[in-house]
Amino acid sequence: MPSMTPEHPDEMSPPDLLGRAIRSCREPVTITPDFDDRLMARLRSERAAGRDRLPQLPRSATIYRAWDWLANTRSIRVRPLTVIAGGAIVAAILIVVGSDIRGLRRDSPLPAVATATAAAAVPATVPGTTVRFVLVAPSAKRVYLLGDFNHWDSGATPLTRTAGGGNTWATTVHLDAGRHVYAFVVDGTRWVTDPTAPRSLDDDFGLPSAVLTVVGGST
Amino acid sequence: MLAGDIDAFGRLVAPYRDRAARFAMRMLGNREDAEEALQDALVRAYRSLRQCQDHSRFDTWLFTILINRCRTTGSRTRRRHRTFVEAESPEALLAEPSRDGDDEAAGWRDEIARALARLEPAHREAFVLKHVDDLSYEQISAMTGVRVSALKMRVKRACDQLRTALGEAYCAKHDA
Repeated sequence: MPSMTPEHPDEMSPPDLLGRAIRSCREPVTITPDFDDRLMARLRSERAAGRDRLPQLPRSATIYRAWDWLANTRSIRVRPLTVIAGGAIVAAILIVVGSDIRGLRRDSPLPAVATATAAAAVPATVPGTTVRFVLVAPSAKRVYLLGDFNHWDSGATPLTRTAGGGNTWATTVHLDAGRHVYAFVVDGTRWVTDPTAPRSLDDDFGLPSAVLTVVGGST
Repeated sequence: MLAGDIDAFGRLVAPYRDRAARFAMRMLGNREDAEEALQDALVRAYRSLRQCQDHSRFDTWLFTILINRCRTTGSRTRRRHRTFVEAESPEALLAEPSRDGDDEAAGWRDEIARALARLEPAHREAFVLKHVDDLSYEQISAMTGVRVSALKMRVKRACDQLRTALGEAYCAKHDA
């Protein structure tokens, strides 16, 4: 019977990639040279602002009294009819709320563009100087980004479909710090503004545009 | 004792700074976010130093603060990426600049960074604390508030995913 032991084990099995990953992750990282200076500057401002001294609340403070009340057991006397009536009211509220939620899901599908940029809570003020623009346009064949940063040239900044051929188009642009107005053009004819960004009050072309503010890097 | 004494605080945290920087970097993947999270953590530690009752566990206490700051910073970065994503994909952002010398080694560092970036943040956190910082599951549980059993599952999943991702990258490189 031929030996099952390979003469050259390394040729039969891949190297210990996980071990290599761990060793790589354990390597030290480089911190920027002024890190300590920046930290000390922040700590000095903390001390100057008096934030290094924690306030000591007296035990009679409201928050302690509230916690004591909540945390300790106590007896409560109620009539059984009160409990039954209260339970019925709560159940009725839950039934009504549940029906409303189901109705909302069935009757109000979100438009494609809004779902794509659903993080409407994200403010259009981001640090850094390189920004990626994303638009959901499932049926588009071509999407371009126009703005003050490319002189509103409808052919200057195309978006490309993201990986997987999905509904999302994206591109990255380097922006200087400051206020920028922009919009998208879909298939050469349809002007689309970013639904999640603030609207520009000075529509350069009489059409709605969005506003993005790029701030300088933090210190 | 150290209240208000910035230099003393600096000496107190100095032994942990590089390890903390490495953790933040592995979690967040880019130097800017990592240093921001680390600075925030150190400032918070300075503010609330009186709350650290057990000085022998100062490193655990400090890392607990850092873990939370990394979670907050990472979460904010991911929200920003949904609409306005920075220059490269998150995987590419996690690659440190290649060092001079061995191109293959630099390439593997990039692959490892990309594979690490694709992990779920909770899995990445558990993996880094266990296998990079070499902490026990009990220590990690104390820092993160996650049960030991859940941590073990997260580490296992992270290891499995990393093996798969790096195995594919290895085959791709050697089949080419």
